[in-house]
Amino acid sequence: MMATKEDMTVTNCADCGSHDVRKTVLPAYDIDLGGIEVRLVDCVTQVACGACGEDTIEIPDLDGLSKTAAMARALVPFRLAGKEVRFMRLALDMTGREFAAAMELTPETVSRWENETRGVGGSAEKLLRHNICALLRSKVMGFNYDPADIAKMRILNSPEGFKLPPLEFTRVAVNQKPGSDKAWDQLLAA
Amino acid sequence: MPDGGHEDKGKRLRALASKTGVSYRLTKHAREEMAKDNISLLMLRSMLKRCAVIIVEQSNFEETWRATGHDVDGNSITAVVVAYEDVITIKVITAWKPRR
Repeated sequence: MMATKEDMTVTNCADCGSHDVRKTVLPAYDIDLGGIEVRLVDCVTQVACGACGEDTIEIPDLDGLSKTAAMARALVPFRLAGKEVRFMRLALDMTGREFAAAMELTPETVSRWENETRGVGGSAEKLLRHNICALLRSKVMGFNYDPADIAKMRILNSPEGFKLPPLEFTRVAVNQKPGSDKAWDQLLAA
Repeated sequence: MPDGGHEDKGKRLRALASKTGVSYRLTKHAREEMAKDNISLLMLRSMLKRCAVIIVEQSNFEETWRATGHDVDGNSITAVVVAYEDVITIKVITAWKPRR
């Protein structure tokens, strides 16, 4: 495990009742959300019990994270894999049929894309990315997006054996979000 | 879907899972079992939004609810969870795909 940023003592273990419990904000935590791998920076809390060995991690605002990750992936120019299309659909919490209707596609086309029996393809993929971002834009507060980025995008085929590195996110302060003062934002390489 | 007489808890859990900003606490056991059964966090969230609570148990220090249902793609998933409605958080003790 990487060095911890912050340590705080918390009450007691929910499993064994011991007071030997440490609460730590992890500097980085990698997780596969189901099609898209993300690295969460300075925002995942680990609670570890020194007595029984239980360790629990807490991921804040999963809904906001999945929507932000879907938008962030839509802006990465490498061709979408089937599992990534499925991830985007799940981020929208839509069935295949609902997603197909929203994208003006047949459910069979969506199924073929997700199962990779047929690739998405250039113009259809751009339209898919536009639609995903348009549907998610109002629900994602901390993430800036310009539709022109997709319009101007040249979609690239992934080289043989290439694996997209995890998309990095952290929590940022926002004012607009009802009921919360934080939202997800992507960390971009300098 | 069987509800085991816990309709109210099912309704509360579905409402909690559908709230904006809900956090997920995952025990080590839950992370291992979810990886084993190929259950992603989004699949689990999707099931919890549509679930029924079928068993309520008092563990050492918390009340756990066994929630069962299908995700948006129809995958059958069962999970044992603790609902912290005051802090909009769901703790997942374990989760699995029931064998037919």
